Amino acid sequence: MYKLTSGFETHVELKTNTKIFCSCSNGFGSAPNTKCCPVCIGLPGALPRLNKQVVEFAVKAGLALNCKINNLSYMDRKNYSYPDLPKAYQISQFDVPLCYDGFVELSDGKKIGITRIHIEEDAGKLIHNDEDILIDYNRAGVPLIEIVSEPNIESVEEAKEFAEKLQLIMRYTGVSDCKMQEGSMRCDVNISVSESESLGTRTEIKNMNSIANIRKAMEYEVKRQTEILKSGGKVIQETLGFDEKSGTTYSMRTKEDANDYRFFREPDLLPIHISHEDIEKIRRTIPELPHKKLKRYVADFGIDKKDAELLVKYPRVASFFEEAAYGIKSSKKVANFILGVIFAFLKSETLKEEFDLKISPESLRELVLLTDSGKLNVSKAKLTLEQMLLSGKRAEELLNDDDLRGFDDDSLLSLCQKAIEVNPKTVADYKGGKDKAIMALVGFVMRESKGRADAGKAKEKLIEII
Amino acid sequence: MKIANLAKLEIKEEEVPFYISEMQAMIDFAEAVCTAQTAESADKVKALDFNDMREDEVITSFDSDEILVNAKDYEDGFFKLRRRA
Amino acid sequence: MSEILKLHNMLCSKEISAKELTQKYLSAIKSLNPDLNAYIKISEDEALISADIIDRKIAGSEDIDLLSGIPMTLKDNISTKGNDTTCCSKILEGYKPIYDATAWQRLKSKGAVHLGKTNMDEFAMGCTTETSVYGSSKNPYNKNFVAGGSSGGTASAVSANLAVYGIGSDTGGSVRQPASFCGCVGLKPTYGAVSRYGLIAYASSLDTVGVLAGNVADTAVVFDRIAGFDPMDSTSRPDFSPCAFDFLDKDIKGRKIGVPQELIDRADEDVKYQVLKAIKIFEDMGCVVEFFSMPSLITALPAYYIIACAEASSNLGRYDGVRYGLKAECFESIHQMICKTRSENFGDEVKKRIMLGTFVLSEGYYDKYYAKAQHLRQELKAQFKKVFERYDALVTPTSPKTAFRLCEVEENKEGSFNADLCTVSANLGGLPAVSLPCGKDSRGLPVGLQIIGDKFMENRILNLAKKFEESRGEFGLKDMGVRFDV
Repeated sequence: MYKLTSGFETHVELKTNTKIFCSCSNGFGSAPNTKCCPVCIGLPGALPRLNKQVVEFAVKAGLALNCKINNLSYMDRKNYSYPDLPKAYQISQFDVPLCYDGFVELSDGKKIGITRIHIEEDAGKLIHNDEDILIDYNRAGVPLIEIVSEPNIESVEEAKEFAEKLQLIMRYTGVSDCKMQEGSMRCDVNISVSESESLGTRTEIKNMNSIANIRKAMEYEVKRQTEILKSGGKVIQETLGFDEKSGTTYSMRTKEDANDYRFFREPDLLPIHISHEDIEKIRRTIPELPHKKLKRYVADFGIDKKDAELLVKYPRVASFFEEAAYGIKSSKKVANFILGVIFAFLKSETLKEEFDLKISPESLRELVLLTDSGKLNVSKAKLTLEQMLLSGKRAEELLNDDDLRGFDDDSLLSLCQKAIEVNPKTVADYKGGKDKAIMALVGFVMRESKGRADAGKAKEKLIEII
Repeated sequence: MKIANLAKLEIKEEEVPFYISEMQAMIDFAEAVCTAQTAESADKVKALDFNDMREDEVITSFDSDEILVNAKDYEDGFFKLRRRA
Repeated sequence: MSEILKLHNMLCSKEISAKELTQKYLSAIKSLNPDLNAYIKISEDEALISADIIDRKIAGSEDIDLLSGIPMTLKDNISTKGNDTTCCSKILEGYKPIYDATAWQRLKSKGAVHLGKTNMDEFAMGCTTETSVYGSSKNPYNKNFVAGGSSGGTASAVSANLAVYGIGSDTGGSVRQPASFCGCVGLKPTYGAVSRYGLIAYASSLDTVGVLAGNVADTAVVFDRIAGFDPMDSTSRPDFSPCAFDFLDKDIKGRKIGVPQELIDRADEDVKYQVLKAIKIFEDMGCVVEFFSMPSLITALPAYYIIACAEASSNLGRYDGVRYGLKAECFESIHQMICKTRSENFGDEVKKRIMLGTFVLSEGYYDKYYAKAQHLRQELKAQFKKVFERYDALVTPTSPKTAFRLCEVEENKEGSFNADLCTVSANLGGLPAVSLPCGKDSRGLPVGLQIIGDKFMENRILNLAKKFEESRGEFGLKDMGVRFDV
């Protein structure tokens, strides 16, 4: 049996206003070299100044991942030469990172360890052409945290779950969008395969740009390494890329032949002091994290675990849901409306993530309360909701008195009784075991009430009477 | 030779013998550091105990013209590096 | 004795216009610089424009700063926006910074008139200015001798009265030693007192922006204006407010002065003689002088070289021709382009120091050399702390030697290392130190006296220097450059 061992090194771009060492704006998509200054392009004589928010975000991320925080940590220089690195060194943290010794808990209770989290600066962007390389330094100096996991991931499923959970926790803390396709979260996966207790030679797959690809790449790599070992060969320690089209890994040219980074303390920056008070202040800004939210939705709101997971998957959806469901009993209905009508309306993942609706949580709550009071039946409510999403109007604006007259219980009772009286054969069929027959009776009630009755309630009542 | 190899990280070495002898002189001089006695418990000099971190406020960046003004090769706002010449 | 005050009064009383004053300096430079090679670039138009602005202010009866209209020079590693700043290296040929160094910006805002950039050892690595791509600067006292380094051009210009003052940089003695060789005053401020933003880095934990002038008062005037917190430099001290000028004339009776025996012992005879004579003057003025032993000052020197070269190897990594500076013409690959660019355009001394620095940081050697050197540095700092509990200031020779003959250093490696013996410890300790002339050697070359103080005690060391200067009497070249003798 070949055992898989894997660890992740994840780079997350922090969502601060400015870069890590200068006050250039930290954004996406500007014209080349328009978000630069002497500091981030490494002009002679320019000096770095550390952005406070970067440290706070990094500590926040660390706390959310159950890490310990170093009260005193240091910046170091990592020296190597590459065209996207303006100073020929990257300012990072070597031996004393900001955060250490945390974990991410998987759904089965297994804890994937987080060895350390440190802050560092990103490099510029290169465009590789045949004849030349074009360089844009807008991204140089963008603040990153590097999250290093313990190599205790033991299956591709665990890896997928780990990546998803990590991404979600980071989104909840608000420190990063963690959009892999935009590059705000990049994973390097270390992977090795072994028959025995001892670890095999590991390879590193770099620049994974989606969780789906991580899964595919890992599956391929495990197979590749296993086959090599089975045939008596040796796995070479190397850096690999993943080709999406073919679904295979390939060997990459390394950045530097010799990886002697000659780390030493960054003399242009002071050590970073963080007191216990500072840490606690930051801890208080961490919102309720996904796993807690999930538990609460199931326990307090009575939502199905699967539904709860879907709500929690998108931080904005979760907060919309909580606001809409605030103080009312039928929170499940709220959830259903969101997961049903609204999600269908939004169609794409991006729209779901943004959750930029024309309606407010309050107006959804109003709608749900209308159905609760019997004034509006569920199917009508769904249609109304669609209109609300399109127009931004509130339920009461869209519905007239007639619609809202609703159908009180007495009327419902009398209609049901009428249905039973008028359709004795159908009743007999139902009593005889034809369950579907009840729907014909419901249909009768609906027709008679001109659609105002609540189909579900009608069914219940009919069954009750019968 | 080891030294010259290492430095090849950044520098191409042509006059190896000259540099080896120069380097050796400097290293011999530097050896004094290695053999120097250091006290078991040197009084720890208090590290500067203030942080000098700045607020997260954007200041307008430089124009790309200025950023590129000293570059020998550029194209469409990018720095350009020819692969061979 | 302050040249700046004298000129300021002359300008305010309209005895001379700023333009006339600048023109005097420009023509003196034209006639003397070809021999001295102090200036590598003269900014005639810029200087006259600045002078003109000051003249208009004076005409409009506006108040002007002491430094307004005063002609000065910048060492070629101080960034000047839109103006060539090359560190006297081929690799930065044509490089025009897009921003001003803070120290220069502060002087500019006070109306300083910049005459041009002065010569230096390439990337500040050297002690004679002979490694400059522009050739060496000569000592105004005797042109067969060097001006010192690395701020040799700046010291030569100030000493020859071709600038009222200059801004240089001091990493291991680069302001004080040339000041000592050329017979002018050179101040290395406390690390963190003056912003390094815009100073092209050599060794980041050792570099300081320094002042060279003809006398102590002028040095203080300039220092007060360039020093103070700069948010662009994280290592600049937030709570420091310079006020050296106000302290110049305080009484120094009873001040405790320590003299490290080791540095006296290693000085040349002439130097020793002059320095001991100077120490006697302090005693006569009522100071309490005590000789003591501080052997760590000797191991400081190799520790300095290791740390400086290590940081330099990292700081100079960025010079690859991609964003600025020269670029190689023919190459097969990008890696080759970078290597060629650097090999062809860095001088030998720079390449040597980069390699040494790379070596001491490399795997397997880091602990033995770099970590050990830093450890020694920490010990030295701790010792200085104790020393300054005992003494108000230390007095030493600035250099064990007086100016070298041209090319002497190339032939004698050992000599060049040891030239920095007395100065590096102030850099390692981040302490302020000033050099001023205390006499001449048998060849007529100036001997420099160094006063070292505790952190941020520029007031105290300049105070002591001023009193010594008064006692010593006149010093300087009277018949060279621009002089206004009353």
